[in-house]
Amino acid sequence: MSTYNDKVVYFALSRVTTDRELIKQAFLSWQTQFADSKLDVFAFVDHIESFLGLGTAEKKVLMMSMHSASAKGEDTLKEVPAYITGAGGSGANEAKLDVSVDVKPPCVALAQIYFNGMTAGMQRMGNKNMVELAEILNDESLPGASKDVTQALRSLDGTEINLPKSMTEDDCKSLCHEMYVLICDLVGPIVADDLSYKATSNMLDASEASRYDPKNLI
Amino acid sequence: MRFVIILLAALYAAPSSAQEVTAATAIDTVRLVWIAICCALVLVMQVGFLLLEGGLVRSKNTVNVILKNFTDVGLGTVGYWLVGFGLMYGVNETGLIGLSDFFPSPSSSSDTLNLLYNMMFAATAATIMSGSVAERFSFVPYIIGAFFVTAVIYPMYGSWAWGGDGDNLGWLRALGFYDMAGASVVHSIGGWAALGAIIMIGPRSGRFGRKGTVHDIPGHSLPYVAMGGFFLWFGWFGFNGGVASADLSNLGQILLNTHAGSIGGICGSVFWLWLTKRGFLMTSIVNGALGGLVSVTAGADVFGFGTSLFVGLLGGIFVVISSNVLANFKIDDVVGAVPVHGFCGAWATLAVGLFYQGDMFNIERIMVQIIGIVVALVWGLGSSLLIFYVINKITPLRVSSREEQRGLDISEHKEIGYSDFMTTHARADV
Repeated sequence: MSTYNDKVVYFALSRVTTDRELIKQAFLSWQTQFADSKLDVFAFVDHIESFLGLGTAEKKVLMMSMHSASAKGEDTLKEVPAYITGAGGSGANEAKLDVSVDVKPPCVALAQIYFNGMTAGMQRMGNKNMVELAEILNDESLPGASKDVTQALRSLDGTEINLPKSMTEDDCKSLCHEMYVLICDLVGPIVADDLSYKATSNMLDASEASRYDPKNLI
Repeated sequence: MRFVIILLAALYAAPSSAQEVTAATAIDTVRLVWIAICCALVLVMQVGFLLLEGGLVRSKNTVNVILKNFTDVGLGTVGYWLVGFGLMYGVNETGLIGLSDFFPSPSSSSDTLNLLYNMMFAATAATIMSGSVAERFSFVPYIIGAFFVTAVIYPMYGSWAWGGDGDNLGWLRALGFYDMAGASVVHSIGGWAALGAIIMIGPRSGRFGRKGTVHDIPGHSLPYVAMGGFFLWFGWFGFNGGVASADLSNLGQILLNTHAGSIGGICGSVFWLWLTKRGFLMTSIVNGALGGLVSVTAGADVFGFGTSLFVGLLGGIFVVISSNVLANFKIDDVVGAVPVHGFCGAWATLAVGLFYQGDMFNIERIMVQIIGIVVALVWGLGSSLLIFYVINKITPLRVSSREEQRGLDISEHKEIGYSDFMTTHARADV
């Protein structure tokens, strides 16, 4: 049976990352170092920040989730799954996370962040650019993009894209670069550079950046 | 300083019995001092090029373009000393090529300064190219290309226009071709060589869009551009003025006309920008001033002040127009070196034929000048295309698209020009 604080911590962690292993490690770290004492949100967030290598944005999410969960009643918070606490064995008995589980290699997750950052920037510049971008992606394959990626790109309609987790590191590199080149062609390199810097910042702020260096993608 | 002391000694301490000899020595000394000053002034032009080109590129490519300016002076000068000087000023029996005085080692002050002054000119011809091909041209092939510009391309044309003496003149010179300080020899040749290099490597990523859109890529520091323009203007007094060392009597005319050319270039570019309602663009006006300076380089000693002003004015207008023409042909000249040096160098050479003081609109002279212009274009562009084609076969001229995205500072030099300034943008060192 989980304690109230366990549930709060699990709730907050599950909103920062979807990586089960990371959540488990962070939760165990919580149990080892903080569970016996009164819940100190700031101390815990600071600890987890370095433990998971969180960026500013994720740290903020963790902090807000902790406060948000603390304000809820115990009954409204979900039990901590057994595979996290290590109480219920493994395999078929594992409870599902309450967020969609789509664990991707960090380079794919980061490429997706970069790609979506670039398209979001294009969207902010006006619908015309976005339509043109979608048209090009629909008509042409980006050099080096696999069939899955091409299919995913063709589904781009102004919403965020979901890259297939089967992508290799080279696919990711190629995708990020070709996206930059394409946007260069559409709106010029000055704007493309600006969008790329912002998208790069998003990557650096993501938890996956602690496991894969975003510099390799661009 | 030594020259100045000798000069003062000659002027104030000469015995009256040897007054004529002393006066001649003093004049020789003044000439030497002046040419030495001019050498330094022409070197200052490199600072101008450096600032102008450094300011006109994006911050991620600053180190690269500045380093190209620095190194082409070094290696280019070596190339000129090894081969170029001999090709240009060696014994020229055929009128086509000099065949002596390779690796010169002059002993007299006069010859030494002459070599140094010519080395500065050669370095100028080479450095014209660096800005045009900025932001995508790899460092090593560029340096190899600059070496060939100073060792072969520039001195060959120089031998035709300036080379030889007595009965063995360079063939263009023998025809009566006139180019006082190198509007064609230095500037056009540099500009056409740059055009060849630009054609070989193509435009920067995103400069021209898929549907023919021209995307402006503004430089990162317009104050640098303005400073560069002023340094070049300042150095030009040495570039043109050095020619007067042979006959100091027209020094004032040359310097005044040089100044008039720049003023005319500013007026011309401002006027044209106003007429076309494009806004008073600093880059265009600075380039207009430089175009004006190039425009009077061929004939500053044979123009009057008004003529220089007019020739410079048209040069300023040509710079703005030809920049747009190049963009329409999808030729990506980052700093506008082809309009400033190539086109205005050609215009300057023609202007000598048109406005030669006391002998204006002499058809024969005009035809000879036109021959010189065409030969400069064919030789400068053709040889540049050939050399860069060969270099490209050995080592790629162009950096990869990914390196271009990251910027050449990081990709090629592992240094960032503005490490503090760029902390936000360079978070990933990209």
